[in-house]
Amino acid sequence: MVFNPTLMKRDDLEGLLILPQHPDEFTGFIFYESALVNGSPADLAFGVAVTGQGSPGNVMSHPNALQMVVDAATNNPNLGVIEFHTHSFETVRRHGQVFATQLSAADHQAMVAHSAYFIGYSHLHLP
Amino acid sequence: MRLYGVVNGQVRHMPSQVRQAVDGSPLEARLDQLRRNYDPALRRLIIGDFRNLPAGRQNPAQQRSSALVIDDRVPRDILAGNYFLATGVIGGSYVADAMSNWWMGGAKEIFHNGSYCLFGMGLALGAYTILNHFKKGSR
Repeated sequence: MVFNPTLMKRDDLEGLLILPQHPDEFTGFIFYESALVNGSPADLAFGVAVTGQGSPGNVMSHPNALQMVVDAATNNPNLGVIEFHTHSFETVRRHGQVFATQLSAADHQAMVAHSAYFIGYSHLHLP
Repeated sequence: MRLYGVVNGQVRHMPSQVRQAVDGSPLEARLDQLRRNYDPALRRLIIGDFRNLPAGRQNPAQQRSSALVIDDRVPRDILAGNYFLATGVIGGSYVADAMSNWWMGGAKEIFHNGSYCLFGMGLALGAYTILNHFKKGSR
């Protein structure tokens, strides 16, 4: 399987970079559609939603926001969604430097489990 | 700080995939069009302006550092090749992500997360596949 590069608007990208600098952790989704850009397949990320704000070491989506994402993915077959969450500098200070660069085992399990909501909607490969 | 995401059930280190769109290009118009195409419920959810979020500790040095991290300097063909190798041989998820970041410590991630068994099986299967290929080819 080959993943397309994800192209994102500069404002959205810079917004994502700011999130880990808040003490709390955030979780959310990046929305994209696959398209050909200059003849090459790419995922065009056209929107970012932050669906949850937690504490250093713990974050989950608000149920209503999560349901909106699930509904949007269900109703729009071409819509791709990428779930993300941040590790803040406070997460690193409290729980260890390792979390500046690594997922915890629980993080990994949770993210893969959540992605089950979106199987079939999350990626469209172009030839 | 790193940003992780899941695509098709696979955890990905986002900075290895997310690249900045060029300002002012036709791509910008296409992105705006996509943003408008979706239903109002989704558009309400989408946050295009992060300035509404609590600012936290804005440290310019940290921002510069993050910007460097997200700058994708992994050649795409190498990235694609690694993903193909990992998913094609092992069929795993996290291993694929780690493989893509191999030179940035991906191997360490594999061992830290207890996936070394999968990795070993993948290597063995890969070696078997390659050897079998040459065996057939020599007939």
